[in-house]
Amino acid sequence: MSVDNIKRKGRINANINDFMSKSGADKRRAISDLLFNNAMYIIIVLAIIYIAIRVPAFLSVSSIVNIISLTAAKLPIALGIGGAIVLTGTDISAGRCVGLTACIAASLLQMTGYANKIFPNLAVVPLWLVLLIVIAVGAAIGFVNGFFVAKFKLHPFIVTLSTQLIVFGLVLMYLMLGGNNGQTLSGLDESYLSFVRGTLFTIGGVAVPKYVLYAVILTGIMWVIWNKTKFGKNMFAVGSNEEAANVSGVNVFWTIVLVFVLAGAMYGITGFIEGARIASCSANTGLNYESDAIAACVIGGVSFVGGTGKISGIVIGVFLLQIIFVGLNFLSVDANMLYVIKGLIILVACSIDMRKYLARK
Amino acid sequence: MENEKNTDKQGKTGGLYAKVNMSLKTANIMVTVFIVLLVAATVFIVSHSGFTVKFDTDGGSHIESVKVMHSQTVDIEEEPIKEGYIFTGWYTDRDCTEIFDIKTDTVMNSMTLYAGWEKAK
Repeated sequence: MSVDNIKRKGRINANINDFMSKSGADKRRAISDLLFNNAMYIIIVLAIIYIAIRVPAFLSVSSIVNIISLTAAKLPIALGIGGAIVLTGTDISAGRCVGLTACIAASLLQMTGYANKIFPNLAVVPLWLVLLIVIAVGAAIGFVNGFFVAKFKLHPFIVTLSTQLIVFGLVLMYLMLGGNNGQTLSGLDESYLSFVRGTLFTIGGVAVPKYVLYAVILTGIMWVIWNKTKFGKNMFAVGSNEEAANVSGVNVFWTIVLVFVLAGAMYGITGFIEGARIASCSANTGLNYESDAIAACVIGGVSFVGGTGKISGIVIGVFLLQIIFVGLNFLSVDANMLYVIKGLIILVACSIDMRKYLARK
Repeated sequence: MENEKNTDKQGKTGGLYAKVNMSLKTANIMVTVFIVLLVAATVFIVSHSGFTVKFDTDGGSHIESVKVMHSQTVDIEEEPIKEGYIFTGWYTDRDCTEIFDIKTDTVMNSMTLYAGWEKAK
């Protein structure tokens, strides 16, 4: 048995002893806390069991690989938004940002000789350059968000609401360039498609796409940034108490700006992956992605109280949410109706988050 | 002085919920109501599930849309008619490049099928 296991066992025993020593009313309180705080997980697990019984194909290898791939595709944007939530803010420009960067990536990487090319005279741009461009575009939008939030103390909701619209306007204008007339961008270069969607390895005859690997790398990078760097520690300090962080010498302004710049860079990478993943980008690409990402973060324990949250929680949150969405698809739930369920999931997740705060107070 | 600083600090914590002044009991009721709403809506939606497949005949005879469950085929016998044209099959895109075989291809989401036409000689 590893040291970790012994430690965990000790902790569980301590918890049980602690529970046994409580009086009746306290015991009831502890049980209701446990049930309420984990209500979302309980609902999701029950839903998974129900779906697995009704549609056995839900647990087939191809379905599980599909869920993992979708999780990987939605992970970078959630990792970016997580930082904004740790600062007690949010970022609702994320989805449109992904849309813009996906369109930029797709437009620069259409194959030569494709009839409806947006820039007919453009040769295929090197992949690394396109990746840098979309990261820069995302980071620039993030900088604008962060600057207004940090400098003028505007609520991130207001700032990102306005950038969301501005970015949407930019997407629409961008798609009008070069005689494209707002058409969907497709006919992407083979090198781009294989770089993102190419086979990483196969399990039981089902191909796992390469972007799963990129999501793993990004998760690792974000884990190091959040847990091992001074910037990460400052981010949590500013999130839990801005005044106190300021008093103890943290540069609050640059911490907030950098959190949004980092988030923007993540949206750029998401856009780059998304462009090739769906292979036909339009103004609708990225619509409402931020709502899924925010829901995933809150389910994963990144709290609007500020200063709390873990990368592992975000990964679990995104994963659980994708399981539910794929499961509901297996139950033949129409995409239109899925929005209603998504909305209610956000409501439940955030109310549980608030209840946790009230219980601690 | 020290005390003043402390209260000041405490006032700033709580993030988005700093100004929430609600008893735990009310919060419990709120969470329960939302959970009931979520479960009720999900049960209703799942019991009324099914993907809608619409048919765009591009000026041909009208075909009613059908409800199809996940990974099943579209089960229609009827073929559209258009004067002066011969029906060539169903396609998933308006430009009629991606063919959809109505007998074998399965439905994974709501969609619209477009009729392909060839001018009769």
